[in-house]
Amino acid sequence: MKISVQWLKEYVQIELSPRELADRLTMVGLEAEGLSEIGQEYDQVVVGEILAIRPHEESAPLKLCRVSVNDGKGPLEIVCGAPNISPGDKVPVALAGAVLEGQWEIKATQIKGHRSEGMICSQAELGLGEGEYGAMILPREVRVGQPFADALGLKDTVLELNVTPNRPDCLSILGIAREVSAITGAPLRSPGIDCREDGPPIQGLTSVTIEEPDRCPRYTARLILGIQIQPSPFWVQKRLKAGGLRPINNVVDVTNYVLLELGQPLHAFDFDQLAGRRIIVRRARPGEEFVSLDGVPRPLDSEMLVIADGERASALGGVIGGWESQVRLGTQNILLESAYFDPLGIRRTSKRLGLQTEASYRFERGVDPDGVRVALDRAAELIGQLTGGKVARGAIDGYPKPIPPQEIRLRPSRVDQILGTSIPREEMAGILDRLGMEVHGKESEAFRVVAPSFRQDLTREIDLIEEVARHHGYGRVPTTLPRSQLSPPEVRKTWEKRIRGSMLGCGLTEVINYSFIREEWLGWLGLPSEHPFMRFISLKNPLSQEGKVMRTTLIPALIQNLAFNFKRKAMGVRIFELGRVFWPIPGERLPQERRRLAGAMAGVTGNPLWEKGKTEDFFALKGVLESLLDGLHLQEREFLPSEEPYLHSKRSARIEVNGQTLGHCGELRLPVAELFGLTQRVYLFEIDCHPLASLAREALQFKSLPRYPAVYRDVAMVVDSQVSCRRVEEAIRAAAAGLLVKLELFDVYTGEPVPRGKKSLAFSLTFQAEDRTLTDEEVNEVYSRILTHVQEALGGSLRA
Amino acid sequence: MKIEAEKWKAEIERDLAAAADEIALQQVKARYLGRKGVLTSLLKEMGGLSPNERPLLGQVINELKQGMEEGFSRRLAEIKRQKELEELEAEGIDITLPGRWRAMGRSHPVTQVLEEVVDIFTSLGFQVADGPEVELDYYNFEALNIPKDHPARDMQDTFYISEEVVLRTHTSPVQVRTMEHQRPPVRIICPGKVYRCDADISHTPMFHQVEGLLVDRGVTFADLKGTLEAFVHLMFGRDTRLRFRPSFFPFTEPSAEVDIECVICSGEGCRVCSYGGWLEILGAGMVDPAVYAFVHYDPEEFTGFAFGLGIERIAMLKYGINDIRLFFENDLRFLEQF
Repeated sequence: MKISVQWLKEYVQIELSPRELADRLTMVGLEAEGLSEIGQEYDQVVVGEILAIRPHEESAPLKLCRVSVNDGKGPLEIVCGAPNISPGDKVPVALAGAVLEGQWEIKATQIKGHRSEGMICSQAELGLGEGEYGAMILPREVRVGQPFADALGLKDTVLELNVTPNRPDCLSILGIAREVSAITGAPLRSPGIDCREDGPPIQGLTSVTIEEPDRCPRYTARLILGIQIQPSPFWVQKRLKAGGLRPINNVVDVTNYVLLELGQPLHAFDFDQLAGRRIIVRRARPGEEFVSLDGVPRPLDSEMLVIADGERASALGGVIGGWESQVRLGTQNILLESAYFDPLGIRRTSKRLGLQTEASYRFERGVDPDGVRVALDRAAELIGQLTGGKVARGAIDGYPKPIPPQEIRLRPSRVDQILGTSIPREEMAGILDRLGMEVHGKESEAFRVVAPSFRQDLTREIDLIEEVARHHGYGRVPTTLPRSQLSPPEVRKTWEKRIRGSMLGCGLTEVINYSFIREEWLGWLGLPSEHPFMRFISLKNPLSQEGKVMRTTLIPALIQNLAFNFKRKAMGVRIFELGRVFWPIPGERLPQERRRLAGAMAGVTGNPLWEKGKTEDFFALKGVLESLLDGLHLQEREFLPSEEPYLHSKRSARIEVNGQTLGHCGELRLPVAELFGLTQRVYLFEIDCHPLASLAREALQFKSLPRYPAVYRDVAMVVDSQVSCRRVEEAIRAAAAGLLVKLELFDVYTGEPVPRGKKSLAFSLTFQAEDRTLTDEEVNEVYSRILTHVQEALGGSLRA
Repeated sequence: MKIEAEKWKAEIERDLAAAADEIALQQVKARYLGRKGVLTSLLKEMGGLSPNERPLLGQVINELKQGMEEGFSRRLAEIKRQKELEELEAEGIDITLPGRWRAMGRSHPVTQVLEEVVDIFTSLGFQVADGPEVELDYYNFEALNIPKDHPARDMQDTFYISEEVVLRTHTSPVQVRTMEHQRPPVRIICPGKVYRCDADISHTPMFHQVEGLLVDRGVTFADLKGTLEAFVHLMFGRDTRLRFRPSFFPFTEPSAEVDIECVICSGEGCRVCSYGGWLEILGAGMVDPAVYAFVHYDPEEFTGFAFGLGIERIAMLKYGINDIRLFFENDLRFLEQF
C-alpha cells in the first residue's frame, strides 16, 4: 500500500520525519518496505510572472515574453506559443537545466532568431495530465521565484507499506492515520463531509433490491445527475498516482480517490444504461453473459454475485464493473454504489476468474461495514464538486443483515501470561482505547471490549493480546529462556552424518538438486515402463516442463550436473547427493518418500596432475562404495551382476549387504551419456539409505586381540579369464577352513608366460589360530589343500 | 723404562684425525689397542719392570688407552655426521612441488548452514523431527488455521499434486503432525526442503527451512524472544543486535518478524539491507489457539511458540552470495569454495 505522507497529514498531525514515521509504523506491524520522495522532477521549475508580451515579427502564433523569476539577475526572455497568456499571469517556467518527464532537458536556445532562456509550461508538459489548452496559469497568490513544486504542494514522500492480510483497515490513508494516532497520541482529524444534495429526491428515481443478504449484507447508493465527464484536476490525479493508480476521468478518479482515502471500494454506473433504472443484487444465472469493463467476456456461474439492472448483470459485485454500464465520455447521470460484500464469496469469485482488483483485494479481506455510507457521501460530495452534477436528495441504504459489533473478554492476567510481561491494566486499557475500542469493566477481572467496526479481524482474546503487545512494543517485552526441562538425549541421524563424511573423504562433493525433474530424463535412461523409476507423481502447476515430475531417482540430475560441469571445462568430477525420492503407493494419497544416496564420477581422477592422472573407472567407483560400507562396518557385501538398463551390462553391479539389495553401480552406457551431452565414461551408483541405516545400527562386539603370531603365504593361481576373482576367493576360503584370517588380492596378470585365455591372480594369505602358534606343517597342509581345491573346483593351477 | 707420554698422545691424536672414514678409524684403533697394538705391547712389556716402576707406567698407559677410546668415539661421531651430511645433500628434493593427495569433497553450503542451525537448536534442547515433503493440504494449510479461500493462501505460491496434495510450502506441517501424537512438552525443530512456485534472483522453487516449536505450561512470548536471541547470538555473534516487530501468520498470534542488524554494514545501511540497517531472518509467534484445536490441546493449559527461518537466506548473508539460484546449479566452481 502506497501512502502519501502529505495526504496522511490531513488526517493526523505528524511531527516525525518520514524516516522516523516509517520506523514507527514498522514497529507496530506496518512494515515500511520503501520510502520515495516525489516532486524532485520539478527542481528547475519555478513560478514566473509575465511582465510583457510582444508578437514575433514573422511567426504569428509565437510571442516574445519577458518573464520575471525573481532570481536577482533580471527578467528572462522566453519565446512562447501559448495562446492564453497575458501580462501579469503567473506561470510555471522551466529553467535551463530542467528535465521534464524525466527525459526532456530544457536549454537556453534560439527560436526563429530570438533568444529563449527557458520554457513556459503547460500542465501536460509537466506531466500533470491534460489541463487547459496552453500554458498552465497559476493562482495569483503564488510567489514569483518560488519553486513550482512548493507553490503547488507537489513535494511529497510516499511510504510503501506491507499490509498483512489481517489488516484490511490499513489499506487506506484513514486506516494508517488511525495507527499513527494510536502511536503518537495525536488526535485523528475526521474528514469533514459536506455532501450538498441539490438534486431531486432519489426516491422514485431508482431502487435497490438485495436478493442475497448473506453475500451482500449492505448496499448503499446515490444518484448524481447532470454531470460532465472530463479529466480530474491535477491534485486528484497527483494523489492517485502517488497511490499507484492511473487517472481516467473525474468520476472514476473520485471512486479511486475515496478508495485510497477511506479504503472503501466504490463503483459508478452510467445510470442511463441500467435497464429499468434499478439495481438487483442477485446470483448470476447459469450461462449468463457478462463483459467486464476491461472488455473481457467473463464466464459466470451461480456461485457468483452480480449487480444487475432490470435485465442483465451490470457488474460482478465487489470484483469488477461491466462494460456496458461503465462511465464514459458523455455519461450524464450516474448511480454510485458503496457496499459491504461477504469476504469469502468475493474471494471465491476472484479465484475462480483469476481476477484480482483493488476492490476484490479489499472486500475479500473485509471492509468497514459502518464506513460504507461515509464513503458513499464522501464520493458523492467530490463528484458533485468535480463534475458540476447535482446529488439527488437522500441515499438508498439497504442493510438487511446488520453486522453487529462483537464484545470480547480480555483478562489482563492472560495478557501477561502469554507475553511474559507485567503491563499495568491502565496501559492495556489505554492502548485498546487509542485503537478505537470501547473498554468496559476496567476494574473487574476481565475487560469487556467492543472492537470498532473497521476491525473485523478482532474476535478473540488472543487478538486483543496481540493489539496490546503491538502498541506496548515488542521491544519492551522481556527476554527470558524457557524454564529448563530435561529432554531425552537427541538421537541424531548419525548414520547420515557418517555417510556424508565417507563421501567427502572419498573426494565426492555434495550437490543438491531440485526434487522435480524433466520427464524426458527418465526416458533417456531407457527404462522399461515397469521399472520402479517410471512410476512417478507430477505437479499440476509446474513452473516449466523442466520440473514437472517428482524424482524417483537421483541419477539423472547427477548426470546433468556432470554435463554442466564438463561444459565449464572441469577436468574431473566426483559428486554425490543425499536426498529424497518419491514413489507413489497405489491407493495412498501421499507417496513414499525414500532417502537415497547417489554418486557420480567421470574424467581425470586423483591428485596431483604432475604425477600423471588416471581417469575414473569401475574400480574407483567400487572403492568409494567399499569405503562407505566398510566405514559402516558392513562386511558382508557382495557385488553381483546387474541388469539396470542404463548401465554397461559388463561393468555394473547390484550391491547386496547381508542379503539385502542396496542399489546399483556401474558405468553409464555411452548412448545414455550422450543424450545428456557427455562424451566421458561416467561411473555412478545409487543406493537406498533405509536398509543402510538399519543395518548400520547393529551393535558392534569387541574381539580379543590375537595372542599367537600369524603366518603369511603368497599364492598365484592361473585360471580361465572367465573365472571371477570372487570364485577363486570362495574356493580358497572353502578349503582353508578356520585358519585363514585374511585373504587379499595383490596382483592380476595376463600375458606371457601365462597362456592365452588365462589369467594369474596372486593372493596374500594370512593364517592364524586363536589358541596356539601354528606350525609349518599345519600351514603347509592347509596351503596344499587350498591348491588342490582350486585345481579341482576351478581348473586352476599354481603359477610356475 | 721410560715412556714419552706426550709424544704418544700427540701421535694418537694425529692418527685419529687423519682417519678419513670409519674403516681407517678402526684400523687406527687396532694399531694401538689391538692384540698386537702398540699400547697392548707396552703393557705386556711391563712384566719386566720393578714393582716400583710398574704402577707408574701402568697409569700412564691406561691414560693413553682412555684417551685413545675417547678420541675414537669423538672422531667416529664426526665421521658419521660428515657422512650423513653428504647423504642429506645428495637426497635433496624440491619441497615446493605439490603434495600427493586426494582432495576431500565439499559439503554443500546449504548443508553446512543447516547443520550449524540444527546443532545450535539441539544444544538448546530441541529435538529433530521429520515430515513428508509431499504433504496433505490439511497439514500444510488447514490445520495451521489457513482454510481454503483464505487470503493468507496468497502469501505462499503452492505447487499442487492434486486438489488435496501439495508440495509443502513450509516446514510448519511437521508441527501439527508432531502434536497430533505427542502431549506437551513438545520441543522440536524440523529442518527440510520446502517448495513455492516462484523463480528469480532471490527465489528458487525449492529451498530449505528450519521450523521450531515449543509447547508446554507457561511458555511466553518473552521465552520466544530469549530463545531466538540465544540463537542469533550463537549464529551471528554475541554482539549482533536483533529486533522483534509485529507481523502476521495465520498459525501464530501474536506474530513477529525478527530482524538482525545488517551483517554487511553493521546497521549503517547498505544495498543488502536496502539501506534500512536491518535484515529479516525469522518469522515467529505464539502458537495460535486455533491450531491447538486441531490437535486437541487445551490453550488454557498449554502455551507455546513457533518459529521458522530460511537456510539459503542465512547462507547468502553469511557468505555474501547475491543470487540464490547458484545453490542449485551445482557448479563445482561454486561448491568447492565452501
